[in-house]
Amino acid sequence: MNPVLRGFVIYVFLLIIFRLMGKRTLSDTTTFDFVLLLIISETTQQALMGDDFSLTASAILICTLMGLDLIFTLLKHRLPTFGTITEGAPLIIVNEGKPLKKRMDKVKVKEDDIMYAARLCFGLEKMEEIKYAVLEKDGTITIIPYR
Amino acid sequence: MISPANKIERIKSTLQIKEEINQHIAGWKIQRMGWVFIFGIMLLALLGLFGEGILSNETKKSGDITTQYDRFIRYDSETKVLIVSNSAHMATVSLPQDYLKKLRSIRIIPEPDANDMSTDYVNYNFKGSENKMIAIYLVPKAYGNIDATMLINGMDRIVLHHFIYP
Repeated sequence: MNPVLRGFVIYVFLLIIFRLMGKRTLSDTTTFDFVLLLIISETTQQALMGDDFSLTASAILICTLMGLDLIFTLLKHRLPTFGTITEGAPLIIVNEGKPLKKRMDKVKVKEDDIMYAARLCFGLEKMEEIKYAVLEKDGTITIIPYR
Repeated sequence: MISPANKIERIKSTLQIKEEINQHIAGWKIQRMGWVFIFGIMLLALLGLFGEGILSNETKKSGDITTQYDRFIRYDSETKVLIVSNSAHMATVSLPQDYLKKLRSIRIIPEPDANDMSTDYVNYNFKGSENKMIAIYLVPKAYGNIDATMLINGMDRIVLHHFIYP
């Protein structure tokens, strides 16, 4: 298969798979997630290159991946809905000290994860000290404490 | 239908963010369907829809000769066509040239003593008198459906069907 087509198929496939797996997959990287990422990158590399290890094929693939990334960035900039579909949107998971359980359940976030972020960012001790916690597009949890 | 107990909390906050909760809800539904799709792919792969499994194993008989091969194969991934004869010696195996254009023959065991070409076929000739098993190793170099008629000793016709995944 043409390297450009191969790059396009793999890029879109990875985009869809990671989107389906949810936000926490990439952000809350445990040792096992790290190993999983290494395996995925190795598998992807084989699918991308096939048995063509030439410098030209590598250059074509790098250009293709960069080009696709550029196209997606431009599309996200021009069409905000496209950005929300491909990358998601932030989600409030704690509102005025109260964890929003159903939302947390949907995005597989535990209270421990929120408290970890609260301790890490502001040294907070209790859930009641958090005004808002937001699960961001990139999967990180941001904390807004009561002032 | 979503029962009130399962309803996602709707809130009003002072935060300046575009939460798009309806899109989140739709996204979670699609995500669930995606998980079913992923598990479906895993199951079908285990069963052999993408090669190497019960859905893929094919056995064809023609007289005393049995041929085993994979119905579903993948591009650039080695596959085997195993021909077994219960009684007769196999002196010649003929494969169509069109077939060999799409599946490159990389190894034949036992090694043929000679090859020659006829109108549409490549003939592999084996010496001896007790040759009862031949394994042909092939690497697919095309995509899609491929049908071919293989000839054993110029008489027994075995139709091979492959689907090659990219």
